[in-house]
Amino acid sequence: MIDADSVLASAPTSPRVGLVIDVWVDLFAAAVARNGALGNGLPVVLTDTLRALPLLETQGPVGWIHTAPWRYQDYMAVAQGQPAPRLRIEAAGAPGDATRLLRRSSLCLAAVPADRAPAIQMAALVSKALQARVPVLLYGPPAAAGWPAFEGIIRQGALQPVQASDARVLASAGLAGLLGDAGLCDIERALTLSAQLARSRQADLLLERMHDGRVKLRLRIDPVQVVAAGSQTLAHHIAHEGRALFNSRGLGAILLPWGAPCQARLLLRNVRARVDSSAIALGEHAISPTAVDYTDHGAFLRLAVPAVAPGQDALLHLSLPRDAVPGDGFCDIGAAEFTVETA
Amino acid sequence: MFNFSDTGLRTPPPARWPGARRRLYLFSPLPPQRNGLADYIVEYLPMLAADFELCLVAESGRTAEASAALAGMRLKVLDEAAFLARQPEPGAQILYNVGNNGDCAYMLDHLHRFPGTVIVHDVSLFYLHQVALQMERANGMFNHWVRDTGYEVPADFVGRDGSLTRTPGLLYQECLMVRRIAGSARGLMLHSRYAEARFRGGAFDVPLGIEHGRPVERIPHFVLPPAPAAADAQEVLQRFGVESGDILLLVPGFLTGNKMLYEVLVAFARARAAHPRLKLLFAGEERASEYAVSDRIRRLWPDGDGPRVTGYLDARELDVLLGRADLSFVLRYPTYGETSGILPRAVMGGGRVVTVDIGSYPEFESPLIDHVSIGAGLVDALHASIESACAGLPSAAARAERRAAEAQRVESLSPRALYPRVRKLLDTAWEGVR
Repeated sequence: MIDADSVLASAPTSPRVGLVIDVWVDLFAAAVARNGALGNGLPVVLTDTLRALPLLETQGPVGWIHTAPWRYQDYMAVAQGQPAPRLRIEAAGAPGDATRLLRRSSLCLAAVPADRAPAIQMAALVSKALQARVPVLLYGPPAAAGWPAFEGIIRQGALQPVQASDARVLASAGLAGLLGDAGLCDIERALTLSAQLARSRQADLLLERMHDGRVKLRLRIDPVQVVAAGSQTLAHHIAHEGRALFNSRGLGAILLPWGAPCQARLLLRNVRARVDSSAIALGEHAISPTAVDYTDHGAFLRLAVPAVAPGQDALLHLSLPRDAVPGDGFCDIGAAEFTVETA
Repeated sequence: MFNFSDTGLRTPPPARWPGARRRLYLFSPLPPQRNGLADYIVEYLPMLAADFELCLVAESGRTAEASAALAGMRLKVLDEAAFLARQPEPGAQILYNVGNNGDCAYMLDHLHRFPGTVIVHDVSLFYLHQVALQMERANGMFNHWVRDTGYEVPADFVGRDGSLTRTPGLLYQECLMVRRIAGSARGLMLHSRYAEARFRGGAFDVPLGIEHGRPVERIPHFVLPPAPAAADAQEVLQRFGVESGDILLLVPGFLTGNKMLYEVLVAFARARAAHPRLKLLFAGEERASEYAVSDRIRRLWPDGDGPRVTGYLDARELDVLLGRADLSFVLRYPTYGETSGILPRAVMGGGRVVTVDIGSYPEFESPLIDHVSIGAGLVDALHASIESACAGLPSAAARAERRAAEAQRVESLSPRALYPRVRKLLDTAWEGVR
């Protein structure tokens, strides 16, 4: 079981950088997109696991190309409409679509896989992006087993190392220039972005500089953007009702933004019994709620979520007690908030 | 239409396990659920637990009760959420124990996304899919699912939203909804020649066999040795009004609408005129929505001296009654299942057994079994079986001999004898994935 206090300290400082690299990539890519520094086309993320970059998605659609099958349907919230499936393509299943999307993209973010096999496949895709002169950013923990597959294209594409604390990050020349001397983990750029997003009401993001120089991010997000459906029937209901639903057995999954260790607060609505005994799991971790507050709006579940292990989907699975599920409807997540401390 | 599909996903290549027991996730109804599939899998659990790092995946909400029921065994019981959180897990194998009932509905959410070896107990999984959609309040997807399996529900039976407004009887008899299961499976186990033939017919365009990564094994339903004499056997018999001189007729199992219950009642009524010591016991839980047998008995025997319905029995009580019965009726028709264990169990009791000559029932052979044909002559045939049983009542010693002979004859069908074949199927399926 995981307790609250141990989560953010669950990894020593240097490996934690690797765990929060997604956060910095998201902050940087969102800032670049917001400032109009990208050309036409979608930003595209190459990955072998299920992930989300919620800040970048506030700036418009993002394409996801996977080097391994993904098993859950997730959604983009569409203004004045029903949720739309997030654009995800499996490279092996639809190589033509993947190539077309990459060649027309405005930015290619490649999360280096923890395994060699998907890395080889991903490197081939990155190569296509480079050939089409798409700016590329490679990132991942330095120890990731996938790096050797990229060495050739790093040389051929003249990708430049970028300052990113202990994570390994390489970028095309143009992007490296945008990153500047502060590199990826530029707190001033993050604070500016946060203020811009808040002003334009594009995201409910609060950045707070901590006394030790780190930054705390608190993101409130429409739960529909992080809910994941593991079956056709649930996918149908989520799309139809526009709510972040659990199924009739009380089973549901949410996509954690970034995959870094975080504090999560979820509002569970329409629950008909106490949910303290819910089974909650992330990878091999069984997680107990640190607190459950029962209110008129529903049950607020507070969780201390550990880091997502390399190669694992950033999916938090919840199983509510059966007596909490109404006989004539579904439970849902009415609000979601995630708090992350960066290195 | 979804661009997301939970079918047909590739399995990532598994890691090698040098010298280690590989992890096996097993999806099945589990004790204390009142389900024959739970009773079935329990017999194999000790052997699976010895060979694998065994993790049972219980339906969400049933984990605690299953853990308690299986305490002391070398295995873990996981919630669905815990299983999902560990995926993808290339070093683990998955086994699904699937039958045509609602307790298996939760497996449909996983079986296609996380392919594994599938034990198929019924060759029509129509009801399973129907119930699964009802439970998920997605009835409107039914027509879409049936089309996925290569069939078309006649328009008269489909609502505007795609739901099934009523069950078309003929459709129900087809080998429906097995094609999607076959397509996702990485190995298949069926119990009988009949089932295999029907399954292959249902999965008409899915290549089956080792060469296609879907080894198919026909492994019979096991037969358990006769239960040891229960210390309270006499009490059980007394509770149900069975006396020493009675000629006991038994209908064992759930009293569903396809067990020929009316025909049994009529045959019993005819035979009783000549044999006043005849007693008929319906030894199972009544499914009044399918056939209200208690109500029918009250109408036919308004004085209350008719057959009795016991309600749900545990395995021990059922064995006591089967061990005492002079004639048992195993008459499921139509049937798309296997022998479901009740036929061999009835034979192990030592009494005579009447069963139907359809499906997989004729494949279980015993000198104690009489086969009858479904049709206009069924009541006459049942009556004749009762007369025959009455005429040839064995002594206690002869009956004990019968039981011993049956036990010896079916030794090769014990779970321990069959398990090596189950293990071989799992290994073959695993090698195929690698």
